[in-house]
Amino acid sequence: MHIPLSTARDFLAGDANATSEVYLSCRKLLYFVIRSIVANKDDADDIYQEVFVNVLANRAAIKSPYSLERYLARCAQNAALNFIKKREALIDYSELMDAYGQNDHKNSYLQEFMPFLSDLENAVAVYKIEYGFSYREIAMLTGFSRQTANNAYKSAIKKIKKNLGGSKNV
Amino acid sequence: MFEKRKAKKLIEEKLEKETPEVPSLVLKSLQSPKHHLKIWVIAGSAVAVAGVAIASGYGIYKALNPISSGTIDLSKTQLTKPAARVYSGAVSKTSAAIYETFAEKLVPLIYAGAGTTSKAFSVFDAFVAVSMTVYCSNDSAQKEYCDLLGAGDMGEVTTAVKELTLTLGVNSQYVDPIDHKTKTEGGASVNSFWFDDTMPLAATSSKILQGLQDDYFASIYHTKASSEKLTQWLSDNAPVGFDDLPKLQLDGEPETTSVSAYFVKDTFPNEEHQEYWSEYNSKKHYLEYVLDGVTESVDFINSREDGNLLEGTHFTGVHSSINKLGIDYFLPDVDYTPNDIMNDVIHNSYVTGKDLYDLIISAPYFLIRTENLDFKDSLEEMASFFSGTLMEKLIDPSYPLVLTQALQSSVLKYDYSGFYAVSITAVATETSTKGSIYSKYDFTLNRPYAFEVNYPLTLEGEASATNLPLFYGQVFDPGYAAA
Repeated sequence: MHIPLSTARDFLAGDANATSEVYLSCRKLLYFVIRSIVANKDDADDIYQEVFVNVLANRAAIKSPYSLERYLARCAQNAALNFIKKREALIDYSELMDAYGQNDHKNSYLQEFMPFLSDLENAVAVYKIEYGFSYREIAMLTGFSRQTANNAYKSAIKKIKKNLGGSKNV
Repeated sequence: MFEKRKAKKLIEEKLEKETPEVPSLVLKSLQSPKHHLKIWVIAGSAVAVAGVAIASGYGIYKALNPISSGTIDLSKTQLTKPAARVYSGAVSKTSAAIYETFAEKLVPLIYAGAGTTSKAFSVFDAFVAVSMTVYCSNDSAQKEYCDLLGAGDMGEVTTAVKELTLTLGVNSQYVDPIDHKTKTEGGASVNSFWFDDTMPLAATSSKILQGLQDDYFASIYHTKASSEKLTQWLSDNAPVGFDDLPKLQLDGEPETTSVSAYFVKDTFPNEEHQEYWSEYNSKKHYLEYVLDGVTESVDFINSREDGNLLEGTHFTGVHSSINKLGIDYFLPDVDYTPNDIMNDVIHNSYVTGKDLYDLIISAPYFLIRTENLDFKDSLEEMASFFSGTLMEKLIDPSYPLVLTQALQSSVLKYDYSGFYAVSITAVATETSTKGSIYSKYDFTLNRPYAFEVNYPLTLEGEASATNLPLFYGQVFDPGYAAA
């Protein structure tokens, strides 16, 4: 997924076609970001809709067209974290650092990607393999350190090789 | 990486299945999506109708009519020739340390979890191609690269490339004492840099291009690289005596490509050469080589040298020399594999034994063809800046480029002639990440079809273009003889 700069500029200027392109490019990523934090489908669907409404309503305030998809992903992450913060009556985000759980298998949505991976490994695998995000970006989206993201990816790749790699790798 | 592709497919299927449709509130604010290409099928007549905009017609014509390999005239797109080279023979300790650190950081990642097929990796051209890419990139990327390699600044890295090229890759030639033909001994390094000249250049571009030419000895081509162009370029630049060349398959035509190729050959001294040739020619000089419990006969070189053993954990090594080049062999202990010892080998984690031996070294001939070794992931693992934007000092930073390909192909041979190797490395950047979120759809007009030729015009008050039809037609027999 990559939004061309010209499309990002047109999107910020309110162009309808560019809005369609940005929406089509980002919808899966944004939903993944939200659903990986908010496991409940109904809640996630509401947040997903709310994120788009807010982004479209406030796009004139977005200062830079660079890395628009990353910006939108952060919006989705913030919306999901805000939801949990309200629900759990938490004081600050640091209490959400274990949103995935390094070895947990709590999030049924994440588990449906590759059941042999932990929640964090599934999340990192999607960000890295599907979206090509750097460890720095993954760290920002998951709340873990870059090193943890790096380790989770390495571990995920090992398990993927073992489970999807055929008889040679077993 | 077959497994990664499988995982990617699983992820894409899951995302597609689970992501909800456009929310109703948002839907109202969206107009109909922009279609780049109209495609529809008239049911029952098996006639596909395609609207093709004139604007895209030229691109399609070019794509369907590639100039075949061997006939590409690269000189038309060559902007500059590399600076002249003079053999230096002087490599500073700093330059050698930078180069060795590059090898120690990158090569273990490439061999991590290596399989059971023979493969080789050329450090020299990888170092040059990667350094060229970083040389064109932003200050923070350069700083991270320098910190990684223990270099004070990018100037030290550039000096390392320059000194090593003028020593290891300057291409000295000699007259063979057997056939009296001029041959190449030592190494030859040739480099090139390819970029899409339709992209706006950064303010620092002329300085960068000059540096690539003078310090990285690169030919600059103001066109995008492709597999065919690189094949032609390698063939055009191969020194005398290098006929067996590796093929590198680039995926598409990246916006920028840094390319380095390395050629090296070393023949045994005359007497040994004659001896090894006659042994080979006797057709009864074999070594019993065991792979996965199966024994096979392999031609081999039997040499004697006074030397020490190289003693490591779970392996023993010896140093062997050809003429100018040396080969260190490392034999894993029984029940261990080359994968188990590779990390120690790369990091020189072994000691030279105290005892001197009359070493009788029996080393089999080998031929290793490594095709399209993909080390993009290894680069990203080695340093985080490879996952970010690159090339800002050459291409206007408002057109962010990201690393999409890092590939190397090589041919290595060891036989009665000595050692022969050619490798080529390409590091490419593109404006978009690879891997479309959309499924592929092959559209081949291989039966009668209809068409509309149209002209895209932006009408007053409209934000997007409207395609006004110019021609309609039907094709049954294309009526155009094949070339």
